Amino acid sequence: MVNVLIVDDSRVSREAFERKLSASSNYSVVTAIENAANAEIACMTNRIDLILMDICTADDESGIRAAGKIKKNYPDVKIIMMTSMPEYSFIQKAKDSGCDSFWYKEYGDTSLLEICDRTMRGEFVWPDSSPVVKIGLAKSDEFTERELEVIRALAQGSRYEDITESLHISMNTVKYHVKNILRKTGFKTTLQLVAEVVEKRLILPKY
Amino acid sequence: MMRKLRKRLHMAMLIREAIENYPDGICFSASGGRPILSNKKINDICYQLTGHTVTNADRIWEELQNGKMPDVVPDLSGESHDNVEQILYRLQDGQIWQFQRRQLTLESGTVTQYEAADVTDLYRYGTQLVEKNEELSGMLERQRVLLQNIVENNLKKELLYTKMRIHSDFGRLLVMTKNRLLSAEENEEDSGIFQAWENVITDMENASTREETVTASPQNELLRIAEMIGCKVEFIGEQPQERKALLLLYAAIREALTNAVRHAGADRLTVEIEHVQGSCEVTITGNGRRDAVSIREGGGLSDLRRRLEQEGGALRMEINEGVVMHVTIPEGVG
Repeated sequence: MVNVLIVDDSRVSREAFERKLSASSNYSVVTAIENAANAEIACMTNRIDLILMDICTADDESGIRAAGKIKKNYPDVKIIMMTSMPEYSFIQKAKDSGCDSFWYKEYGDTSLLEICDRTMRGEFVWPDSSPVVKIGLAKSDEFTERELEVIRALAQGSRYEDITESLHISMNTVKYHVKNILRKTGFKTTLQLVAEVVEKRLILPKY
Repeated sequence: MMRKLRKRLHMAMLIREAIENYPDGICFSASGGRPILSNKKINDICYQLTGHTVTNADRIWEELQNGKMPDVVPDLSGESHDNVEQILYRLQDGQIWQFQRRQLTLESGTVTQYEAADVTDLYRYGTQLVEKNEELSGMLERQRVLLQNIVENNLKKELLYTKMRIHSDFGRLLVMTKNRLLSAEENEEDSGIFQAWENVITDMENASTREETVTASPQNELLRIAEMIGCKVEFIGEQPQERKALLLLYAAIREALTNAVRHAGADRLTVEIEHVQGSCEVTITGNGRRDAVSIREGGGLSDLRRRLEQEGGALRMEINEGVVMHVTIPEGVG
């Protein structure tokens, strides 16, 4: 029997996952919580084998950060990171934090039970890429890695001067990237750009 | 001897010429303000401002500094001027002049250097820059509010989609149930329909409370998880009312709880709270083993310290018959 901890800020999702797992005799849900920061404590004396971890959880606590801590202290616990957000950086961040698998709740063909079974068998199940969303005239996979970093910095409220420091690039390079991004998207201002990327959840500034 | 004197004279003339050709006003003075060397430009501007040329540099500086001249304008350079004093002046025709004084230490003693420069254009650009920066700050603030609104709208949209899905399931179930009731025969799928109704009803109940969970209390879940791992959290004093302060308090409790259980095997955590002059002073102790001799500040404590300090709070760890966490949380900041 696999003991499962569910972490998701949506009560509807928590209940739905619990129901799906209860339908299988292989899984037992120990508890379901809404705040990822509490997940490590739940692992302390309970025998948790698998965590279904949402990325954006209650009180803006990041599931990826929590997963990193848990993997450090409890490396045997399997973690499936899950999200409905197309944020481009989540897959890489989840890999960096040591998670075992990654599941898009609303995209892809893999069912929850299938990904749980495969993960518990020792497979690492990862999507090839994050979902593509349209930003103005451009598709999200048309942006370079550097351009996405510049967009993230803009979405976090950074000024061009701040971006030169945080990304270690010159002012001219920042302007060059911004010009290219605006050309690709067809937007006239960075404010339009930022509003669109946040609305489409390509970038979540807090995560 | 004559050649040496001629060489020194030639050198002096070269210096004189260089000073005269210097694009700004410049003057060097000995102690007491006695001018050693000055150019026409600084004499002209001082004459324009004070009615006399540089006969005593210290006195002219005092006149400038005492505000005897009209319209002292603020220094917009934003630079630090170590060992340099600076005054900006606006003339009646609108020109802005910058006066600087600095001490130069030479082998033969100390000399004071005065410089006067027309910074009218620089000042205009500086003023424009300040205005643009203020405008930009306003835009950034509007952008921040806009982003927050987008995030909130996304949450509402998510809730709406969930409700739409539940209503769609509800509609399908109604049709299925109607068809089932119209057929007289018993069916193996009946139990499935009952289960589906139970699921839809649960979803409907949860969806209606979804908005409450967005601002759910941070307390209940942590205390429930603490009890689940066999550690009771006791409070002495009143918890802060504001959500921001409450989140910081529970972040501290979470860290203290993790460490007390993991490193000292505690099964009770005591949180003492005092409200002192706009801040919340918190002391957290566990009842675990008291054998700690040092505290290694790793990821968790460092993160907590950073988070508290960002909000104007503080963290102090102490070993006093076990590990004691002292936390200061500012109140009344939103």
